[in-house]
Amino acid sequence: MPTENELRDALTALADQAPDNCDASLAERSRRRNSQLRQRSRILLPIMAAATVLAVAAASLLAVNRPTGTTGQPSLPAASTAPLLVTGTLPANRYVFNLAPIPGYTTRNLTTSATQQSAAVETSAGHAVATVALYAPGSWQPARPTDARDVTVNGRSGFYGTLHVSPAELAGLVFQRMSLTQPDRSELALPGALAWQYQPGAWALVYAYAEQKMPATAALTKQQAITIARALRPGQSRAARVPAQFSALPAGLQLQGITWRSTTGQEPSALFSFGPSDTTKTTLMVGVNPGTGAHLPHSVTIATPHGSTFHGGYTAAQGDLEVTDGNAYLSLTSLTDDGTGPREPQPSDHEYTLAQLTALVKGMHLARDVADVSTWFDAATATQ
Amino acid sequence: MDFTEFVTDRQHTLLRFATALSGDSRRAEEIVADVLARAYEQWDRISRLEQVNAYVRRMIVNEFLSRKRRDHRTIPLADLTGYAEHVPDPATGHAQRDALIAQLATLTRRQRAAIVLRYYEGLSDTEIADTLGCALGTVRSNISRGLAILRVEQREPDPPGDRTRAPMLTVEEH
Repeated sequence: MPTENELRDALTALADQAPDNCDASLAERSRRRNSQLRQRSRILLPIMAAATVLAVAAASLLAVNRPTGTTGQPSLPAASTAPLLVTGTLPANRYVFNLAPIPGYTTRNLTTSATQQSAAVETSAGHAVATVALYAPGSWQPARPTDARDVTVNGRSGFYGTLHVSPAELAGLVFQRMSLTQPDRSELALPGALAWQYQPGAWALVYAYAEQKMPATAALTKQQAITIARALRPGQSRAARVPAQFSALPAGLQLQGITWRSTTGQEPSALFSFGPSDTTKTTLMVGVNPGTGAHLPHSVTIATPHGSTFHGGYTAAQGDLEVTDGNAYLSLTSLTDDGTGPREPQPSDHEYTLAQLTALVKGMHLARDVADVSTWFDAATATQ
Repeated sequence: MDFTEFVTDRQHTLLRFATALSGDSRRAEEIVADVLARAYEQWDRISRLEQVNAYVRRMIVNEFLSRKRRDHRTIPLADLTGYAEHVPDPATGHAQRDALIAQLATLTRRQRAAIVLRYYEGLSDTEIADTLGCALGTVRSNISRGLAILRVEQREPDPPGDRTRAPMLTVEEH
C-alpha cells in the first residue's frame, strides 16, 4: 500500500512532465489568447449575461447558499503556505532553482549535492559578492542569531543577522563527508546573512561570498540580501553543465555532487564528487581544470577525503596517461605545469585501486575546450 | 510586478502545478495559457494583490474544474487495481509510482484537485477549502475518498466526523 510520501513523489514526478518553458513566449501567447477570448466574449457575452440573470434569480428562489469562487475570478485567498517546490534529496546533475536577473550582477554555478545547491552572485567585473544556497527540505535549520531581524522574502518569513555555521553546513553533503575525515570544528561567523524558508521546513541562505576558507567580502546590507534573495526561484529545474563525461566509474560509485570554481580572471573548473551509497565509504573527487598553456591545456586532479591527492596533467596530444604505482604512492601524472618533467608522486590511501583509477581517467571524455563553457556537456550525461 | 516578469518567473511553476492537476502536459499548457490570458486582462488589479501567486493558482484550479470535458474517457478500474501488487522487486518503487499516477486519472476533478493541493502544493485543508470554494468537510471527504481510491495509507486519519465510506468504483477520467 503506497504511503502519503510516495503519493507526493508521484505528484512531483507527474509535474516533472511539464514542459521546460523558461522564456517570455508564454506571456506573448497569453496576450494573443486574451484577444481571442475577448472576440469570443463579444459574441457570448449577451447570452451569458442573460443566463447569469436567470441563474441568479433561480438561486435566490431556491435560497442556495453555495460557497463562492469555484469558477471565474476567485476572491482573494486566505494566507497561503508555501507550495512544495522542492522535495526529497536534490539531484546532482540538475539545479532545482533558478536566479532571476539581478540588476548589476551576474551569477554562476557553485555546487550541487544531495542536501544543498548554491550559486554565486558576482559583479559584472567578476568579483564575488554573495552566495545563494538552497537546502533540501529538512536538511538544515539555522539557529536564530542574537542580532536577528525579521524579514520577508517573496512572502516567506526569515531573518537577517550574524549566522554562526560550520564550513560543512555551508558546503553541503560533498564537503560534509570530507569533514568526517578532516574534522574542521571551527565556526564561521557570517555577518549580514539572510536565511528564510522558501517552503515549509526548507531553508535558503544568502550570505557574503565565503568560498571555502577565503576571506569573505563585505557583509551584505539587509536591502542587498533581500534583493538577492528575492531572485531565488525554487522549483525551476535547469540542467547543469560539466567539462567531462565518465564511462568507467569504479563499481558502486555514483555522481553525488559537482562544485564549480572560478576566481576573477580565470576560467571555471569543475570538481566532481563520486560516492557509494554506503556513506561510510569515502568520496572520490575528480577535478577538471583548465591548464596553464600549450603544454598543459587541461589538468585532472583525483582526490579522496583523506587528503591524498593524485594530481595529473596531460595533453591530448600526448595520448594515454603515464601511470606509476609505487608501494605507497600512486601517480596519474605525465607533465608538470611547465611541461618539463614528471610530477612528484602523491601518497594514496588505497581506498581505490590503481586499476580503478586508471580506468576512470581513461574512460573520461573531456569537452572540446575545457576552458570554454559553451563546449561543456549536460551533466545528465556525465556518467553515461 | 510587470505581467511579462510574472510569467517569466512563474510559468514553469504554474505549468508544473497544472500538469500535476490535469495529468497531461498539453492540457496543462492550455489551462495555463487560458488563465494567463484572463489574468492579463485584469493584471492591473491582480498585480496589486498581496498573494498574486495564490490568486493565479486558484484561477488555474477553477479553470481545471470548469473546463469542458472534451477529453472525457473511461479507464476500466479493474485494469489498474492490483497492478502494483503484481510487480516484482526491485522495480516496485517506480512501478508503484506509475500505478499511482495512472490511478490519479480515475479520481473526480474535485478529488484530484484536493489531493494535488494538499500533497503537491502543501496547503492546509482550510486553504484548500478556500481555494476550491467549498466547506472544510467537503475537502476532507474528497481527500479521504481520493486516498481510498488510490489505496494510499493515511498516517493521520481525518477527524471522526469527516470519515467517509469506501468510494464507489465508478471511474471517470478528466
